[in-house]
Amino acid sequence: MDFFSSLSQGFASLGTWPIAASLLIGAALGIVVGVLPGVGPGVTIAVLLPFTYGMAPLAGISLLLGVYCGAFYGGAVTSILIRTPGEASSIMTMFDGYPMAKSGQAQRALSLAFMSAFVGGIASALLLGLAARPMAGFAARFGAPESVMAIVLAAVCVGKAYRKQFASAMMMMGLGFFLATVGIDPNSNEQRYTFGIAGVLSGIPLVPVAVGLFGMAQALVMVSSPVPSFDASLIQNAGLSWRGFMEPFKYPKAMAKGLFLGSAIGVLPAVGAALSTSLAYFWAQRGAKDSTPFGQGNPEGIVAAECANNSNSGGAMITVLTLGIPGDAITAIIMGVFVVHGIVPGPSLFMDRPEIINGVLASLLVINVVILALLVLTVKPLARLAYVNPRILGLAILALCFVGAFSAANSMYYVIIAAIFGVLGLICARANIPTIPLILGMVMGDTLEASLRQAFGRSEGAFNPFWERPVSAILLAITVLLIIWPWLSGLFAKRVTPYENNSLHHR
Amino acid sequence: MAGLVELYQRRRAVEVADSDELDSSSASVVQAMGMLVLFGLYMIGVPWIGYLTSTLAFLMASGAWLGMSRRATLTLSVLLSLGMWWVFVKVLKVYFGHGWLI
Repeated sequence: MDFFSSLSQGFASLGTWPIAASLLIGAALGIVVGVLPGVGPGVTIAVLLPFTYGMAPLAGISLLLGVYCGAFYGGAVTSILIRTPGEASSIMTMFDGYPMAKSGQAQRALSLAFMSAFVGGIASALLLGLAARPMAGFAARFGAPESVMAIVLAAVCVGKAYRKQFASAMMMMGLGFFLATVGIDPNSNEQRYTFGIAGVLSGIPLVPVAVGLFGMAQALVMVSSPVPSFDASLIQNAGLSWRGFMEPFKYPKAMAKGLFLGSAIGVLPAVGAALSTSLAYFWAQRGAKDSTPFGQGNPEGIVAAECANNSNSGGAMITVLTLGIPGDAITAIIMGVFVVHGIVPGPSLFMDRPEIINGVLASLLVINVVILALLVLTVKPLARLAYVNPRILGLAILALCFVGAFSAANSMYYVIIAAIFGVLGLICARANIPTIPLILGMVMGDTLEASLRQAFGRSEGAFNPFWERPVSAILLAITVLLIIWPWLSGLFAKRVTPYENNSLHHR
Repeated sequence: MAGLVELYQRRRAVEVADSDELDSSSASVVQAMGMLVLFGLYMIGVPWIGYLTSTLAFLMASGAWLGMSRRATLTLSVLLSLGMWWVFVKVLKVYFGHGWLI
């Protein structure tokens, strides 16, 4: 099936009222969430996840994708107008957006940001459409050892993404893997780590864990933090300018840099949009066309950062759809929708349920158009949402977390799990322990266990298949190289230093 | 184990601003603990008293604990609890159990 016929099938699958409505609601909610202070897409998606269970899979996925993409756009509003980034990934937009707004060019800055994000979103959706099928074709050749090594490599990439927090990120990932093993062993039907508690026989469910870690913990931080003060005078200047909309196309280099880094980093597990925007911003500084210094209202800074920010979404979905490996916490939760509906993300999805793949691609394209249209119509009143007291929002989120966790199974047991993980999330936030790896570990744990059992079952417990099969051996080599790289680079540095010292001495 | 060792040694390993992780550096632990206690009471209250009344009581008590103005607390509590009760109980038919009030 070629790209265009897949796309037309995808558009056709969006043509039902429930899917179209969920797409629109998701996009609108995403923008609002991006603008609201302190609320991120992770919280919203975690709280919304239980409500998607009663929907058709594509409707649920479209709703969550709408929130995911909408928040990228919304985050730019507060970054530019009140110097308060809605998301971590909008920080770079603030550096040039706010000075521009302060000098009376708020409309230009907003238009630049929205159009750059739009280009990033559309390009990354197209990249998803073009790259996903060949990648899935390659991944279809994966046996159990390759699947195991791909997950191990993803786990190491997650740890590496946390740089100095490598060990604690791996600890949380390990905890996630461990939690995925709780319940009845699928092979022997024996209980594992249940401690006689009937509620955990079927395992620890993902929904309350996500609601607790992302929803409750975030809400508890919001209600217990002081209300931030800001200069609200620029909010009155919110609006858009048509000239600003066309301006990003004057800087194709900055746009290309943002697109490349956003998509490439989106594919890597757990690295996240925040890092891609920083890298794109600093890369755009080299050879910038506009003479305005960066940090004082250079349009190329906004273009590169916003392009990178929104092009993450397509990249992150590639690994989910082709390998069943989530790129970040949000795509991990979106993967929960697949799992609940009995859909296994991975190469087989392209054969078994092509309508889902095509639908995701089409909805990513449509979502970006809908978001841009909504922003054109509502940017002025939307900007006023920045006035909302985060404590009031936190209270509303706490109340919604209760319903979200409860309604997943109509059980207070789910609320108890959410509360436990809410406390854990708060403790982790206080101690600066990352929690995203825990969710990623939980999501990948089942596949890891099944593949590991299969691999060892066939090799009768021997490790040989992991290095005897070429793809698995390559993945293993990359994993080992990633782990020993700090030691190797240290070794190289030591060897280089005496030589450099000598050459300096001779000069 | 390595994570626990790192936690013990942690002094320099904080880079929250560059990640999607939660930044709680300005949060008050006492207020968060108080909110957790109120949430625990809310969990007990829903099946016992009823969803609407418990939500109203939880929001009012939370507003008071967080030092919000009486007007804001009352408006938020009444609107949010009624709105959520209508959406989840009446429209989406989520069953929270029979409390001795609504």
